[in-house]
Amino acid sequence: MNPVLEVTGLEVAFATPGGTVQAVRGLDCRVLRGQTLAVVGESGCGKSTAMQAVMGLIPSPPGRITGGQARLNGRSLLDLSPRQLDRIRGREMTMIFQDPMSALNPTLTIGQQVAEPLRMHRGLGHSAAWRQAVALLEQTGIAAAERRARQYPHVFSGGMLQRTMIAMALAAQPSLLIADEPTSALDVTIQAQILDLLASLQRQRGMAIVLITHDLGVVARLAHRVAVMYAGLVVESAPVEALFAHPGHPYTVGLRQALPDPDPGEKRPLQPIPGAPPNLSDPPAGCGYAPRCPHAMRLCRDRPPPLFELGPDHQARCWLHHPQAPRRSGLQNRDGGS
Amino acid sequence: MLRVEQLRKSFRLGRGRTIQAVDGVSLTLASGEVLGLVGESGSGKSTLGRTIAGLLPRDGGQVFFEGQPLPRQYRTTDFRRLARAIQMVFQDPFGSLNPRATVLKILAEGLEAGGLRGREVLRREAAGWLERVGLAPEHLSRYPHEFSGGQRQRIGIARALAPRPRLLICDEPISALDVSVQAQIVTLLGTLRQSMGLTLLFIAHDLAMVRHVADRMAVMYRGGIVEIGPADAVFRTPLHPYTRLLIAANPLPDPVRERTRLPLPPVGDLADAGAPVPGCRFAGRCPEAAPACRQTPPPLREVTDGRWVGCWHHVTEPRR
Repeated sequence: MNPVLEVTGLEVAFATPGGTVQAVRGLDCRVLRGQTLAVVGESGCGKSTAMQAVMGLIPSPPGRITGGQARLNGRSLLDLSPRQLDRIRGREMTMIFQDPMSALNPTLTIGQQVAEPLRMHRGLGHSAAWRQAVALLEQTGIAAAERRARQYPHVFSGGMLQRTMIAMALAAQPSLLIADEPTSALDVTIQAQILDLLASLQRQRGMAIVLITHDLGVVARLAHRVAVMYAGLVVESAPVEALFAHPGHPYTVGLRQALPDPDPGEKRPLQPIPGAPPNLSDPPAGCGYAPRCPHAMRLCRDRPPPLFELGPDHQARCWLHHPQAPRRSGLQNRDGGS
Repeated sequence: MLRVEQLRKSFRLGRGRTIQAVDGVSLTLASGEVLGLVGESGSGKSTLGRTIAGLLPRDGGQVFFEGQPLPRQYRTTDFRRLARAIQMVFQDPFGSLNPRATVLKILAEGLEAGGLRGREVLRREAAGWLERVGLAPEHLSRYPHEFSGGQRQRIGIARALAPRPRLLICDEPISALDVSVQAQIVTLLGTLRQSMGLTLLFIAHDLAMVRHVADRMAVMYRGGIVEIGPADAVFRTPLHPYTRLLIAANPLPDPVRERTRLPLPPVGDLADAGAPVPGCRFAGRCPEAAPACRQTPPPLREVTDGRWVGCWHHVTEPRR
């Protein structure tokens, strides 16, 4: 199957007073129809920047795409003119954000805002667009949608605003939805409802989703594939089951051990990852994780590791997977054992 | 050590409307204990913490610290007098540190509140605190913006502990931090708690994390405590339908379990829950609500050893 989105070698840099920051140093990923790719990492790892670059939302200057390719349904995105991009954005690919309030216009009713993409991208007339907008709000689980559509954003709760954003994003029936921390600002009971909603809409419509998140619980809930980013690079990429069952990068292992155990019957001490990520205005010569890594060898500090194949569709950027490296417990090995 | 009785706090919303943020909460904290206070936004957990710390005046009820009643509304002299009783760590390590003060100045204020005097003494003690929270003495001359979120939270903890309080109230101390840093801060709080013999009120929305930190856990909903008990027991076998909902809603970092999870019951949004009913505060969203639940509020009752639940389904005696 052809991927909906395919990104190879994407690099993004920002000019700052302190020098050039290499925010994204290499992103490779692909998303198939009806599938969800989770891009996971902590603040500053480049996950949001990379996807903004795909959407053509990097302000330039100071930002610049310095390398790589991004294709949406086979069509190259990074060399399009702003006008060509405008025609694709909102129609073939749309994005929802952590803070829906800032993405909505406070002076227009909810219904008007959901109707707008329907008129713009699907050429519906006013009343048809309104009826369709109400139907979309209903589909995203807004009770009394007809009445709610006449209200303004400020009377909506955070969960209802995010449902509204999803309704707007789906209006043009995109083949790709990029969701940037869509539930991070929401309470856990509302988050669960929004995640269920995204999963069921994806099943109905077959769209591809890129989910940007820092929350491994959300990843486990929604993702089919996962790309773990650290210091601007994808350090591990795998099907979700393999990533959790046999993590291949020490950072992935570290993230999991820093979290409370998922099993209510188990309780082990939390293991913090010491230190902090590197400064990307002066990227490290070797592996960016080496200073925090319990397994780091001298080679790790000197030379950047390539991606090693660990299994079907499973890669990790770690020297420990070199044939001559010592075996480490807790890490996925090349032969599939762990 | 701390006894809170029937604490009430409301806020005016304008146009004559008020919201009862804390609605008659009673709880106790034993010396050396960690009590986790869990709830979603709007549950009143932060307001409760701030009211106990004296940052907000209370409308009603009593707070006793080591047997002594605390004032309803603090004056400046009360803050000084009680600096060695209760201190607070805040969620936002950006907003809670004076951006124009050096770390030395921030820590010196706390040390002075604890009764220390003299430039050299303050400097030496402040340097000691930085080391205790995992920073270095050379950080004393820097400003808050020069630190990462996790480092700022370390400074916030050092500031709060500098007067050597006996009770530390932590209001969502880790929710603004990255996962790897959250574990660092939780571990640090655990270490300091042991070495200083601190009592901790740990306010958070993440039940799994609270279970790691706390001896007991109290769950708040719409201004009231709905369940309280040993943290591990509450997490393993939640009794109140709201606690069960919170735990069921929390996605686990385990795809096998997540794939087989049942969808949540349609519990809606707090915004859809409507005005408070005369009965149980959770009845509007409760999947198990019976008609009687909407009429009389359930009492918080001890159902098994040390486990208290405010739910009519757990009251065996006849309803009034």
